[in-house]
Amino acid sequence: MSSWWRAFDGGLRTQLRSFLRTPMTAFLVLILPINLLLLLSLFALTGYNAPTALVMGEDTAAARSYVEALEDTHNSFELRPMDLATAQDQLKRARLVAILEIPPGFEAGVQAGHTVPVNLTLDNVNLDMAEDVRRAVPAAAVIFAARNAFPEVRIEADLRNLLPRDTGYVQYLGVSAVALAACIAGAVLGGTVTAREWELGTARLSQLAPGGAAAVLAGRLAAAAVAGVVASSVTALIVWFGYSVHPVHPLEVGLTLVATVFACTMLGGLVGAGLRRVMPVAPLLIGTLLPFYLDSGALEPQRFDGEWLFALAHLSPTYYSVGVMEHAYHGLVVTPEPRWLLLLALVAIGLASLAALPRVARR
Amino acid sequence: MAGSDGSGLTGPLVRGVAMRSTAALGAAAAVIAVTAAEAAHDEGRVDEAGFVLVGVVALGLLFLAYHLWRGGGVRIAVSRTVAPQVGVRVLPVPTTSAPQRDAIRLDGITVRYGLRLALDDVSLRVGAGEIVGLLGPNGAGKTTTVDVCCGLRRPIAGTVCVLGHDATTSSADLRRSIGVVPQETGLYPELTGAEYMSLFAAMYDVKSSPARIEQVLALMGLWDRRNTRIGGFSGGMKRRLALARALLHDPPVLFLDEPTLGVDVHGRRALWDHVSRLRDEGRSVLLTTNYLEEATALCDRVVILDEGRVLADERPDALRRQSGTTLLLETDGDAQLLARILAERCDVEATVTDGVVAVSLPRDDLTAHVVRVAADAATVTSVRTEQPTLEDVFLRLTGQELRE
Repeated sequence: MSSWWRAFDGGLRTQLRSFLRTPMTAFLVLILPINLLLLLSLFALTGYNAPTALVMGEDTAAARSYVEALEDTHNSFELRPMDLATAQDQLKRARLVAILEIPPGFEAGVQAGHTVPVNLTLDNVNLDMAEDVRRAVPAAAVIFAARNAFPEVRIEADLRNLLPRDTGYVQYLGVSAVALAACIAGAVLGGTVTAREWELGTARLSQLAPGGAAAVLAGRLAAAAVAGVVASSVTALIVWFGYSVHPVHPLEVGLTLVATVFACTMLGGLVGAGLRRVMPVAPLLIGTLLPFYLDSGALEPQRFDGEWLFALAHLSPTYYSVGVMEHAYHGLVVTPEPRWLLLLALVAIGLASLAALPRVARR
Repeated sequence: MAGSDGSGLTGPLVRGVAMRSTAALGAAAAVIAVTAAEAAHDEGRVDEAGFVLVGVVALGLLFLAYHLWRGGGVRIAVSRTVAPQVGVRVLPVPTTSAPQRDAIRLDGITVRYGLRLALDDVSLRVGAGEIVGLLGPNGAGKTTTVDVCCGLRRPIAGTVCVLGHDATTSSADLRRSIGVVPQETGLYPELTGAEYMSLFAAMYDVKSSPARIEQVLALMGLWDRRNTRIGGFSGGMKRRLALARALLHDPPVLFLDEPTLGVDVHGRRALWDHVSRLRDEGRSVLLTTNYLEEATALCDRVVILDEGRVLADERPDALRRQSGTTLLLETDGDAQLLARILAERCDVEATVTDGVVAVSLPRDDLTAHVVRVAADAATVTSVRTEQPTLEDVFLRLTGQELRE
């Protein structure tokens, strides 16, 4: 074994030992990616089932048909049948987004050809949810009219999906969260490991070793990457078995995790070597990676945010990771670049960071 | 014919070009393989596992290519210039240029941190088997001097030579020849003493490392605690472990930066014994300290630094003599009167503090005379001498109080 590899091996073993002997660190390493997944899942879930009261003024065939039409519209609210008094009370207490009232005499009015009002009372504090309910009510009226063959309806939607199946928002976001978890776990671990070398004063000693600091730091970062892969694998498994998002290409999930953690651990290591203090590492890396994550196509595959923002996303490893990960889980192609190029970019980021590390360490 | 001229130049050159060409071909092959696999996969000719397998192989190829690219250049340099590794053998002083007497030699070293001059035209020598102390207040430039000698900091002017190596280039040869105990001891609290030493044995490529680790840990009295985590060590044990680590690869030159900082009196004495033994083994030591007592106990010479400049370079006893000894006399009678008598009859400076007469002696041989005059003039109940402190020496040299 060459002296470089001996020093690398020494750094690797020492760091793994450190992880095992500091249970709190190991626990935090595991918990951070899971927390990120939960955070993003909560973010998605809050807009997923907007609670809407359904007050039925009558229980007739027409009224039930309208409610069916309402449920068939593309919406993200949950209809909860209740009486008007309860609904108004809950709306005041911010437990509901809206109250939808089917008035008494609805069927008679429809059959008589009159315009029948469907009352919608809306808590429009959240525009996103309010718009969803606002859109659904007239859309349901169109569906209702078409199903009941009203003579005035001349237009029928002819839906053609590009993909054979829909991808749920939580499912899409959960997968991108796996990519984010791998990025942040790797980056924070890498950054902490190298910054600690300066805090303990061991970086000076590594620099004085005949092989220089690079071999030892690379060994330590390799250990950090191993821990990062383990931690983010837990997140990937939660999405797989907990969220029931079965990957279309399971091996690709593994490969992407490894490549992402490698890239981000080395990048984080470089940042840690630059900062030389452990405390600012996590806030800086998380604070930087999160906005890039939001810009990486992590929330939806379509890019309507302009060329500048799209170009900016390429600066972060999250973009490349999300691109491959969405394909691995859902079979979606969400970036213009081919997958091999995305993976190559991740590897290149890792190698470039590793190559720059000795220079930053000597600074 | 290439490589057959005996110069040894053409062979490595060809080998380097060949390795780099192989690396470039490897990288290209990796990219082509993945591109082809992607296309085949999209057309349904290769299943997912096959595609991923190609990806893994391609990554391996890229890694190999990177290593070859780096290794090609490095190996050429190493094979031509680096001497065989010395393991635990003491390196002899190189005799490649003019005969080298000084283990460490600094000439006109100037270092600047931004606008501040950290070292201003500093010159000093440390001979083979000599212990030299760098003495000065915090911020005087002691650690910077050590950093320059180790190649960790590049001076803007001057030359620094350690065992004949130009320290500004910080070559692997230089790093093998020196051992350093920095102020922050550089220990991992979660490791045991033995694990810590094993890591550095790997970093320094120490041959027969288990035996050598046992040897240096036993030397520092830490062998029995080898399986204790460093976090549980006392301050003195940590310093001893740091010294053991610095000695692990058997360097002929040692730099000890405040080796007894934060160590209790007992631990300090034990460390002094260890450092003294280094001189007996023929090693050269440059140590920095805030304590004159430490410098006196350990050093053959003391260099006093302040604000990056050398104020004195003397033997400790000479330094002390120049600063004079203070004689402290207690009397049953009038202390003020006794002080006046001594000042007049012995031509010395005498002051009274808390009823004790303090006499500054410009020469040690005046002690007996002053005591005799005092005994004649008053009933002296107590006589003792006080050695000058760093503060005293510093005050004499600069006319200023020692800063914190």
